[in-house]
Amino acid sequence: MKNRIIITNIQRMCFHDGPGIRTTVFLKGCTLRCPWCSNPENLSPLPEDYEKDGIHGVYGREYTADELVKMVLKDRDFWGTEGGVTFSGGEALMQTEALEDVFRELKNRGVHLAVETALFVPEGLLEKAMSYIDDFIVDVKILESSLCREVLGGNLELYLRNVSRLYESGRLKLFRVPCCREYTFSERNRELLMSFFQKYTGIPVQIFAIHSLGEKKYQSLGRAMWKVEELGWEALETYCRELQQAGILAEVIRI
Amino acid sequence: MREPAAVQTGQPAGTITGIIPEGRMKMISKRIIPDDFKDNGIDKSYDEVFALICQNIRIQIPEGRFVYFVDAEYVMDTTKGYRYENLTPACDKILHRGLKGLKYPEAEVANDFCRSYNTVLDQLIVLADRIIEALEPCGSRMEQQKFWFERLKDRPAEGFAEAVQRMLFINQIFWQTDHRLTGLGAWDSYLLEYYQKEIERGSLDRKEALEILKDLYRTLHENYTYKSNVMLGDTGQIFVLGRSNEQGNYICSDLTYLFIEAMKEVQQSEPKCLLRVSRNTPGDLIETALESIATGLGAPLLANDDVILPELIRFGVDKRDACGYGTSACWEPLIIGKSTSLNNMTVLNYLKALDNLLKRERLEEIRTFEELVERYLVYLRRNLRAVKRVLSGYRFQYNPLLSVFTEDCYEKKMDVSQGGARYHHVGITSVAMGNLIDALWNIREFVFESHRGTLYDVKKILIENFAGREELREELKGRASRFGTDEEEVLNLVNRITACVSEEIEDFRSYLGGRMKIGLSGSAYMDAARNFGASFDGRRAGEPFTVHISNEDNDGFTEIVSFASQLEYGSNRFNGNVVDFMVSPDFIHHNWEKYVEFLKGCIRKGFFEMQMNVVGSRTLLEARENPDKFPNLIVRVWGFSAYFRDLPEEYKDVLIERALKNEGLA
Ligand code: SF4
Repeated sequence: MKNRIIITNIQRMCFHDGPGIRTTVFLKGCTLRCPWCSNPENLSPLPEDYEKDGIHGVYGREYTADELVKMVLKDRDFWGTEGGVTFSGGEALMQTEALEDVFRELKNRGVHLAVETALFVPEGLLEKAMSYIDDFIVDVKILESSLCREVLGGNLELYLRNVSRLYESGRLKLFRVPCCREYTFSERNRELLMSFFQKYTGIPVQIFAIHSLGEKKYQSLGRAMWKVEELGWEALETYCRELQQAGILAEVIRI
Repeated sequence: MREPAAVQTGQPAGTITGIIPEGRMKMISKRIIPDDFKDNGIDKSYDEVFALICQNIRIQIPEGRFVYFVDAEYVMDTTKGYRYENLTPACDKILHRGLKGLKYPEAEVANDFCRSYNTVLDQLIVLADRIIEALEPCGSRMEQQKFWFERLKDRPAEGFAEAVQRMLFINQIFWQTDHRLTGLGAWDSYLLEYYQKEIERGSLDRKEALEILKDLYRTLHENYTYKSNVMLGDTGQIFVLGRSNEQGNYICSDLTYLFIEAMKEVQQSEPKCLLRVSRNTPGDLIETALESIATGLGAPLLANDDVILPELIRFGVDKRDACGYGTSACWEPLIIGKSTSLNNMTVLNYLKALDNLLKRERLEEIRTFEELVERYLVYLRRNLRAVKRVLSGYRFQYNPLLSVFTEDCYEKKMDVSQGGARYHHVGITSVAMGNLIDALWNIREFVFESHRGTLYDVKKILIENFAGREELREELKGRASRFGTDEEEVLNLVNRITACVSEEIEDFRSYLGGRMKIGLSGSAYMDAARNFGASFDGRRAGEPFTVHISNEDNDGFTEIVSFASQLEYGSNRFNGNVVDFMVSPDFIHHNWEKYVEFLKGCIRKGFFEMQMNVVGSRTLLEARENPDKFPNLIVRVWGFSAYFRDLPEEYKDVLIERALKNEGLA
């Protein structure tokens, strides 16, 4: 099935996924299993049936590279000089092979490309994507090796190597931290985050609270969502100030 | 004198009985026709009535800067025959010459029209004299105003505020003679020379100019109830700002900014302004506009020269004239001061033909969706032929005042009603295209794809208003609307339908030789729907139609703009096509720079016209519960701004529903 790209959504007019006005493509399939994930429809790499308010549907649609290019180009007049296309997910880079034609075609047309990634992907895929993608927005989650494996199912060492590689290339533009009390916002993890960011000074950091907006989607898949206890704005603000005092370009955002 | 006579209601705005339901036809203000206007029960001539008005209206001396009043008990009776309304007279004609200077010299008075024309100007001089006399007792407070009115009689205007006063004087006479929905025109252009002259001389600064314009807005806001047409706020008072010239350059000045700033600071529902934009509009002007829009005013409305001008020119409007376009009260492009085109003569309901088809056709003979569409178009043409028949029979009222302030009448020595104006086309608006497209799509799925029922079933379900089929109705209604999505199939169908309309109305000629135009905007989405049966988009009988070009199911505004930009507006399809969307104030404020970029992108993409309702659902819900807490909450309805508290409940409901959907809460 080479060159078939599985997508759950193409969202137009996004203001938060990179510079300017963007069209964001949500790719299906993820290498991690974050308990707080609010995109359950983007975990499995295959199309999935769902039922919402009595209506049946399928999450995930296959696109050829040409179809996808045509779809995203619909908004090119809105991108201006800054905007462009952002690939998100799920783990967007998992489908790098299939997406290569899309990347190339868009790049040839001078479109600015960004990827929003958790970065738990084989180095080869990242390397390939790097020859096309201008900006990378990278999630930062659990920074303790065993907990990362246990809770997220991710290889932290691989992640750290990827981050470093990206940082050297100058394309790492932004870190994002989904904050939940139990894991990413635990005292221990906050300390780890602090020293992590200090290593990559100059890269802005956005922190935001995990929310339960994905609940309906879990229901539609017949699954239950992990109980989210949303962090208050103040807790985030306080931590943000700590980061700022350490010279880190941090801000709190609402998602 | 001046004893009130029988109470009469005015002629409904731009409607033809039988084509749109009576619901819309309630006038806000009851009109009293003075006995003076009749002689033994017989109507006096236009000249006589005009003279009586100038000689008898009650003069009110203002507290503020400008003399401006309408005597609502002494208004010309225009209820017989078809009157002119929804037009923008060339009020700037009064700037360069005084009233006397506009008259025909004695030797050139060749016909009755020339006599009426001169009578109008003579009587306006009588009124100016009466105003001067009334200002006398005010002493030095009104010294300057007295001086302005003296000069008004036979001299050009000199100063900035004086020029404003002159055009206000003309404007008030239009209201006094019952021209409903009188537009204002391109005041940032008209006033520019006076502004620059005074700035250079040092007799005016920017701050003072802003104060003058704020007074202008306040002055025009007076008589708000009297001026409102079908609903409070629906006055048609619109300033048209900024413009492109023949070379394609964008023309604006400090005054363009000042007009927007003044409107923003005054924060009244109307008058409003429309900003003409193009790819060449400066970014900071777009920001100034957005600052005003984002206060919740929703205005200025935006009209895109890059799209509108070529269509006007292709239609046959001279390039130079086209560059001077404004709009009829809401959206319909109109050549200011040169056109007596009535652009809202009636409303085409796109669902009507589908309804006719279901009720009259032998449905078993329609075997495919394509056949359904073809038959639909046959009925649509029939409806349009009826519209043409009715409209070609109209004759307009004799109107020397409008002729004085309409270019070409002087040279032609001809009244507007005889074809004096340079352009006198007619326009119709439309409703329910969105409902039609969604209904057709649903029928396609229900009948021709999943074979869940026949066209007879559809007919029965609709006649019974979904009785016992609530689940189906919810399913139909719950589907994401297709109208307003930029899928090729949808665009093709919409363009195919409007192309059919365009072709059908092409041969229309009014008694003056005017052609017909149509647009996808219409104010009657509520009234035309009130007595209209259920439709297969899941709309119950009587529920409102969709609004203009809108789609609250889109997940980004870019899609609706992209859709609108790919519609065809050619031939005669440019009679107002507005993209209308709801956006919460927070969304704009949190994303200011990107939102400005978005607006620029919209212009590049090529919308025709655009208006934004900037209000969150929570505010609307609270305001419905506690109107007293939100006395000044302004929203946009059709093409005008209104106070939310003034709206009938059903309009409030429509706005709330759209806001909820837009925010993903419904
Ligand atoms: S990386 Fe993102 S998509 Fe994947 S499981 Fe975690 S939160 Fe969900």
